[in-house]
Formats: sequence, structure tokens, C-alpha cells
Amino acid sequence: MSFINYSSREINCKIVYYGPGLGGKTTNLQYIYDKMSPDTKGKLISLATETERTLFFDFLPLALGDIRGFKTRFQLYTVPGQVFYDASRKLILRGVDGVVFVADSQIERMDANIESLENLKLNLKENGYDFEKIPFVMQYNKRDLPNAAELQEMKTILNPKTSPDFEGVATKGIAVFETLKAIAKLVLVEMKRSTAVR
Amino acid sequence: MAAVDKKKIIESASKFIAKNQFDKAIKDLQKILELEPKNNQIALKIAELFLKLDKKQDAVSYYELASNMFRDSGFYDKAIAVYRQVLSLSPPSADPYLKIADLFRKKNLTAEAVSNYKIAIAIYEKEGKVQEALKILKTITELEPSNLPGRMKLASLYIKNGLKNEAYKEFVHIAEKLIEAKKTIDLITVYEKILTIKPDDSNVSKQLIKLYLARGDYQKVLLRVKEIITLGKPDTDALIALAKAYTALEKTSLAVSAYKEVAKLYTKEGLVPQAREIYKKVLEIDPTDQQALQIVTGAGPVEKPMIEIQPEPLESTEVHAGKAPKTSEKSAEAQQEKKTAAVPPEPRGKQATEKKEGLSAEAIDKYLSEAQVYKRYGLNAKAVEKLLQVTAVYPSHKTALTELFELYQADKKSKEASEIAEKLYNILMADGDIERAEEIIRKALANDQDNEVLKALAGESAGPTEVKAEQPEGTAMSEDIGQTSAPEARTAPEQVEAVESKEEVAGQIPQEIDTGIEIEVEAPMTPETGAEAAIGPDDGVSDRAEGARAQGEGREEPREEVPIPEQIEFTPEAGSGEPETGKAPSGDEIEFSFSEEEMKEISPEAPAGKQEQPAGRPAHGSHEQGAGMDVIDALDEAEFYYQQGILTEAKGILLKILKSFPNEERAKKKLAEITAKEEESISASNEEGLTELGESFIQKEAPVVSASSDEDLFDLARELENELSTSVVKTDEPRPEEDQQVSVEEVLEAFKKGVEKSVDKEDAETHYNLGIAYKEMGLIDEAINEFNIAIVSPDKKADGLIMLGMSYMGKGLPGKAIEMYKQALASKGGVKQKNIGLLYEFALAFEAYGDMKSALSYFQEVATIDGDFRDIKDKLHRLAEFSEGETIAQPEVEKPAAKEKFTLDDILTEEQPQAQEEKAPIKQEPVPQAPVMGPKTDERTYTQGADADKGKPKQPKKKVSYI
Repeated sequence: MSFINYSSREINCKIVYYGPGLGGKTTNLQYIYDKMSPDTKGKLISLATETERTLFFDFLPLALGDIRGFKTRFQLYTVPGQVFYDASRKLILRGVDGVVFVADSQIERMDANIESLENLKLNLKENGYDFEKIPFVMQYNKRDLPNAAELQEMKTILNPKTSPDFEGVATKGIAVFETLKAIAKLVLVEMKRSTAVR
Repeated sequence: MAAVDKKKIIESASKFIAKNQFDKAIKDLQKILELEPKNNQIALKIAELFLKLDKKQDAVSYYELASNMFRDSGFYDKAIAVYRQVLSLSPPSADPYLKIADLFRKKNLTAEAVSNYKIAIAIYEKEGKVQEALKILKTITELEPSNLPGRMKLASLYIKNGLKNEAYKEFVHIAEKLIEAKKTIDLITVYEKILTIKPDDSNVSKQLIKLYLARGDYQKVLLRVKEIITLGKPDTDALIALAKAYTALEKTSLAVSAYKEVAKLYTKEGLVPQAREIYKKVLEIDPTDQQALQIVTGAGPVEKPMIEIQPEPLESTEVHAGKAPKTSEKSAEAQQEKKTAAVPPEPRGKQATEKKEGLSAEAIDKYLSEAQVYKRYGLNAKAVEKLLQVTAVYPSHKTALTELFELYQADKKSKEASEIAEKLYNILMADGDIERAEEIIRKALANDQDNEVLKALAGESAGPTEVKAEQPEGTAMSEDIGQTSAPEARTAPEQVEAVESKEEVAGQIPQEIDTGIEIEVEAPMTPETGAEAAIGPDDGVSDRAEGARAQGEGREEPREEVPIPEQIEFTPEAGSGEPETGKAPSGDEIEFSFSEEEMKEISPEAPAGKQEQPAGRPAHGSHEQGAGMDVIDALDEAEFYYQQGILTEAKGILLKILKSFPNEERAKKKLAEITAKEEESISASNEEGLTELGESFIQKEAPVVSASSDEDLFDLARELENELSTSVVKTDEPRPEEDQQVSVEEVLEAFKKGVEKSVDKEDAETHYNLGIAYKEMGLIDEAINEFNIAIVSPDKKADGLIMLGMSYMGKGLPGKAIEMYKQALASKGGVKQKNIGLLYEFALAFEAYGDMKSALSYFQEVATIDGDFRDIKDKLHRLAEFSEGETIAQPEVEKPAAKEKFTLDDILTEEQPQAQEEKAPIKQEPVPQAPVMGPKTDERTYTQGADADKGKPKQPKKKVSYI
């Protein structure tokens, strides 16, 4: 559930971009950062290892404006995709409000997609979340590559619960904002729903 | 002690505290504790007073006492909070973490428990207490059997402590789980670990190579194959992998060389069809390769020798009882011919079409891997589609057929499965893989019990017959059966050419069948072979004769048949065949020989001395044979080893050659090269303790290439050397894969350094955001650090201070939290007073601090504003009990999950606090304002961390009662 700070009248929603290594998570954030107007975005913190892989996490705060007097911000995070950063991924998922899964469409990366998705489910569970309930959007990235797997197959395999999904080419910005909007919407709806229930 | 006494003691203690006479106050409180040994508040207070006296050890003792009391009363969160207080007072020690972990276990919060266990492990490791660390790791694995990272850690610790067997078992267990979970990436890591323990685990090595190939990690394939080579003779699987890797790396010539090595191995083992398939692969990547062309198509300059080596019809082969049979070069081809006669050959047109439309090796691999993916995800129809694309071009592709069979079986398509099974059966039988062939039929029959063909095949395979492919024809079978009793006879690969070779046979061999060339090879035979090798005149009998021969020699020894590729490959001038042992050269005869080892295997009785007799063999020549040794072959093999850097092997082979042929100049020359190379290696061997092989790979000079030999092979070695020299260096670097999981601490440190470099101190907004990010992750210290940077900026001071207060609450330091809230309030542009959320947070802080009356006061104020706010009713109820003199609240497990009894709409429309603040009574100073957080992780942190505060918060100006 989102972090609501009454004193500073802020709502912070945490959205985590998850997925296999080199799938395009950071590229998504970079594109968003490039295209957002300066007054709505914070600094993009994106540190890379020597091998150009995400170090710990990328972080981009976005201001979505005021909602009834509360400054609402979306904090976008990516996780390091490589398998040996599982502890980091688990940590980053703490307090998550919504997940964007950036799948790599290359057919040879299907295994990695599946593995990462399973890892996501496990880490969510270990953090006390239910994958079936958390706001979730799927982005099939790299659709422009010739070795892209068939979309329907990817949907069947990766998105059986038919969450909103998009065919993306993050390097060109295709579906990057559509994905963001979709997850933002789901998070806000979920926030309203869960607080109403309580 | 009477109640009156207790009251008096409390009053006395309070007076002492007011006078800062803490030691006396402690004595009073200790008396109460004697009276009420479960009074956790008194224990906590004593601990605090000891802290004021700077007696940390005593304070810790009472904190631990209080924690145990909370634990025993079911207040696990409070117990945890108090233990965290202990952590802040004591030097790093595993014990508190273990206790906290145990408490989390009681709360069924496994992840948190494991997290604390891990910290304890890290401390133990630092302290060198390995056994303790191992013990906890085992606990973790019991707690979370599926916690594979934990198991990896355990295995790593085993390795560190020299417990290799335990580590191996653990890794094997992990690997099994990963296979089940289809986690190939992790599996690679585990396999790599296993190989560091048992480098000679060939099965793991093969699996690893497969995984590398599947992932396109070709450099690692090269590296792994190199390691296999260092451990012994490379097998066909390894070399095929090598070839595939080179193909993928677009190193065509090297791929061709590797494939040819594979073909060579096959032919040496008499696996002619497989060798032929390999040559087809060669053509796929290099359609101009003359050698492969000649072998696969039967055309080109080597066609003549191919004809020459074609066996005459088997009926003319003379094998006599009691005499070593005349072995000819015909075996495989002869079998093919026979089968061709029995099974109508595929029309040439079809074969031509297949070749014309042939898929590249990459395409085949791609289709197969795609099929695998589809299959794995249950998309069988798609998988079948892909496989059919392969079989459309290569009707006898075993892997594709096997996959198809399994898919049809899985889909209950028994008719299709049976058809495939029949085809596969014939191919496998032809390959001598009788077990698999029978297994396929058994499986097929299980789903198609009435299938007469399958029944017949099953019956046949159960019997001693040897010619499966001919079964449909049935000619001469009874005779065969009657005369061939040993089941091994069926397994000789050359007996029955694979169905896949039918086309080829049809295309290239028919004219060879009747060449009338009689080839006799005096291969050493066991007596029983000859005894059983009565041969009849017809094809079927000929077949049986081959079977009988194979029987006598054992199923693994089909070497009396020299396959075509062997001839061509080793001798460009292959037409000038040399005679086999004991025979004069003849242009019409197939040259053939066994290697020394083969001779030994086939004919153990053959006296060693005989092998040294190169009867009738010239000392020089392109294809010397004798003493069971094919010189060209042996030279070639030596060259291969030489190029792979396995000098010892190469040298050994050359010495054998020279033993048989002392004047063999090429062997001498090569031996001299090797000797020189060894000397170079020795001189260079001081570098980093590299192995001989490693050195040879790393040497910059290209090996001397013999112009008369397989140049591709030299290139192969050279390229491999270049590739691997880099790889070797890389593997020396610490790689994350080898460390399994990278710890958060490690990553965090690097990240913080990166942030330091890339984010200015003045960038308060970013530091504030980072603080929130850290706090969300539970990295409270890091969050505090960031907020402290942020509050330097006036714009972020108030918000930063509030966040600091929240963070301190998360650390179980409510006193510090209160301080931060107060500062926030005092700061310019600070939060407005009477914010309901802040009031509530302030109340929580006081409650956590132990000032229940102040807490009650603030909760009441919150209730005045909104009687349904979060769990305000419950709070008021519990604190009312306190006001009546109760010390202990109800266990937290009984707390209703009603803390979020507000709605988003409430939140978003909650302007009332500001509107009401002027009216709301201010009950005491300072008027606290605290943020209200949504629930999720933060809430739990607050509640569990609310009972202790190591700091020395400024007390509100309200009389404090401690009970």
C-alpha cells in the first residue's frame, strides 16, 4: 500500500520494473526521464556496473500533481536482473505498490523471462504480497527484433492472468508511457479500493 | 509486599529519578521487580536508568530480561524491539540476531527470521566461527527447504571449510531442484560450482555445455571443451558442442575441423551413419568442402576410392569356421546395400530435394530449441510444427523424431506416435542403440496395443535377430534367426544402416553392390566368431554373416568395416589404399587396419609381439598400416592432441608410431616439435602456475602447421587458443556467478559510493527521495543519512525532520522520533499543528517511549477529531487500562487489524485538521505533529519498535509515572 504522509501531505507510490537482465527495464526509465518535463521529474539515479548492468536499482521519482491536496508521486524503480542479485531484488520489492514486468521478447530469452517471473512471485510472497492481487502490467519489450517470440505465445506463458500488457520497443519509446499509465492507473485504483475496504 | 509498599517504593524511585539519583531509583525498582518478576515495564525502566549511568552492560541485561518477559507474554514484536535496542548498545554479536530470528519464527515471519539468521551467520563468519555459521545455515535450509540461495551459501561454506563431499551433495541437491524448477541460469552457476569440486564429472560437464549452447554462451563452451580435453580424450558430444560454438561464432573453418574430428571419432567406432551425418553438417556450413562432398554425395574426385572400398556383396565374403574371418571394408556399406535391397530405396529425386532444401545447422538448432520451449510450456502443437519442419528436410533426424514421438505420445496421438516409433526404431537399431529402440517400441505399444507392426518389431527385438530394418521384408529372416543366437549380433552398427542412410545408399551405392570386389582382411578373430560365422549365399545370410562377425567381436567393435569417410579424411590420395595387415597393397582392396588399442580390444589373445610386426608394410607412405596401427590416422590423432595442447598424449601416440615404424619421418618431425614446445612450456611455466595445457593455449606463437596435414585442425587449435587465452584470464577474475548471491551489503556500499559521486549534497530533493527509497526498503540507517542531508535545505527541512522521526521510530527509538517531530514543528515552514496524523504518530511515539499518559492524551485528542481514525478506539481502550494502573497491555497478537480504518477518500478530503486546529485543545507541550503512514511494512516496524529508546529524549513537561 502506498506511503501516505499526512504531515507533508504526500502520497508516494512505489512502482518496480522487474524482469530478466538486459530486458530493457532501465531503458524504460531512461526514456521516461528523457521525455518528462523537468518540473515533474526528479533526478534519475541510475548507476551501472562496469559491465553496464544496473547497480542495485534505478530510481526515478515522478510528480503526478496534486490529488485533493496531496502531492502524489510515483517512485519508479528497476531491479538488477541478474540472478545473483536476488537479495537486492527482494529488498527493492519491499513496499511495492505495482509491478511492471519487462519481458525480453527474444525467443532465447523465454527461459530467463519465466525464471524472472517466478522469482518475482517468490520475492513478492516473501515480502508478504500476493502476486495475484498486486497491480501488474506486462510489457513485451524488443518486439522489433527478428527473433522475437510470437506474441500470443508470450501472452500464454507469461501473462496467464491477462493483466494489461503491451508490445514495446523501449529504445524507441514504443509503449513505454502506455505501460506507465496502465500501472499508475492500477495502483491508484488499488489504493482507493484497499483503503475503502478497510 | 503489600500494595501500599509498592506504591511507596514507586514514589521513592520517582523522587530519586527527579534528583538524578538513578542508582537509588534502580534499587527501588529492583525491589518491585522482585515482587513482580514479570513486570516488563519495570525491567525496561531499570535498563534505561542503567543507561543514564552509562552502565551499558547492566542496561543490556535488563533489556534482555524485559525482552524475555515480552516474549513469554506473547508480545513478540515488543520483544524484538527491545532486542534491537540491545543491538544498538552492544558490539556486533550474533546472539541478539539469533534471538530476534527466533522471535520472528514464533511469529511465522520466516523471511524476517532468515534475514536475521543471515546477519548472525555473517558475524560468525567474521569471527571465524564456521561451525556455528554452518549450524545456522542448516537451520535456514530446514526452515526454508526451497531457499536455494541459502543452500548455495551452505555449500559454499562447506567448500571454504574443505568439506567438499558435503558441498557436492548440497550442490547436487540444488541442481535437482533447479532442474525441477527449470531455472537454467541458476543451474549453470551450480554446475560450475560442482565442476570446481569434481572437475571430472563428465555428466555435469556435458549438461553445462548444453546449457551454455542453449544460452548462446559460446566462449564458455570453448572453455569447457578445453577443460574436457585436459582431462582426457574429448568425446563426440564435446566436439560437436565445440563445432556448434564455432559455427555460432562464425568461425567456419574451425567448426568444420571440429566436425571432422567428430566424424573421425565416429568412423573409428564404426558409426558410419553418424559420421555421414556429421559430414552433412560440414556441408551445411561449408557447401564447398570437397571431402564432405565426396563422402556425402559420392561425387567428386574421391568417388573412385569410395567405389573401391565399396564392399562386394556380402555373400562373397569368406568367413570360415575355425579361421579368422576375412574381414572386408564392406561392413557398413554392405549392410546398407543389403538393406537397400530389402527396403525399396527412396527415389533419388526425393533425396535431391532434401538436400536442396536443407536447413542450416543453425536453423535446425533453432527449430529444435524452439520446439523445446514450446514443449516445456505445454504448447505441443507448436512444438510438433517446428519438429516437422526439421523432419521434412531430415526425415531421419533422431532428436526431432524422438521429440515428435514423445509429443504424440503425450497428446495421445497413438497413430502418429506409432509411425514415428517405427521409423525411430529402425534408425536406432541401425545405430546399434538397441535399448532405446526397444524402449521406443515398448512405449508406442503401450498406447497402441493393437498395432501389428509394433508387435512384430517388439517380438523381433526380443529375439536374437540382427536385421531390424529388413523386418518388413521378412526375407531370409528365419534362417538368420536360426543361425544367429547372440543378441549382440543385432547391435553391430554396421549391420543395419540407418534408415536415414537409405537415401544415400540408394543414391550412391547401388552400382557398388555388384562390384565383385572381394575384400579379405585378416582381422584377428576370436575362435567363437569363426565358429558361428557360417555364411550363406544370399543377402540375408550375408547380413547374418556381418551380424555374426559383429557378434564375435562384440557390439562395440565393428571396426572391420572401414567406413568411407575414414579413408578420405586421412588420405587425400586415398585411392592408393594400403593393404591391411598381412596383405599386399591392392588398388581394389579396401585398406583397413585397427589401431593398436582396437587390436587389443578385439583380439585379446593377439600376442603383443605380433603387433609390432608391420608385415608387408612400407616404412613410408601415405597410408601406412601395420601392427594394428594406421599411421596416418595415428599421426592425425597426434596432431589433434598437439594442437589442443595435450602434448603428452600426442607424444605418446608418436612414440607408438615410431615404435612400429622407426623411420616414419613425420612422426619424428612432430615429436621434435613437441619436444621443443615442451621446453618452451617449461621455461614459461613459471607464469602463474598455469598448467601445461594452459600454457600451450596462452603461448603466442602459432603451432607449427604441417602443410600436409589437416590445416583446419591447426586453425582450430590456434583459434581455440586465442579464444581461450582470453577466457582463461577472465575466469581468474572474480565473477558474480561464482559467488552465487551478491550480498545486499556489498551492492549497497557500491551504490552509496556511486550516489555520493553523482548526487550533489545540495540536491536536497534527490536526497530526500533517496531517503524515502531506502526507508521503503527497510534500510533505515541509510534513510536517516539521506534525510539528514536533505534537511540542510530549508525547503526540505520540515519534511526531512518528519521522515527522520519516522525513521527513528523504525529503529525503535521513539525518544529520538519525538525530538525530530519537535524540531519539525519548530522549523520555519514546518508542518501545521493539529494534523490528526501527526497527533497520532506523536501518541505512538510516547506510547513506545513508555509515557503512557502522554500517549493517552494524544490519542484522545485524535479521537476528538476523528473517533474512527485507524485503531484509535483500541488504543484508547488499552491505555484506559493503563490509566487504571495496569502496566501490561494485551498481547499484540490480539491487536485488531483495524489500523487502517480510514479510506482514501477520507485521506484525500482530510482538510479538517487544519480547519479544526485552532479549536482543538492543546493539552500539553509541545504540540506534536507527526506524520501518519500508510500501513504495509512501516506499520509493523512502528509497532514492533515502539518499546525502547536508547536515546535520552527530552521529556514533555508532564509528570512522568513509570508504571
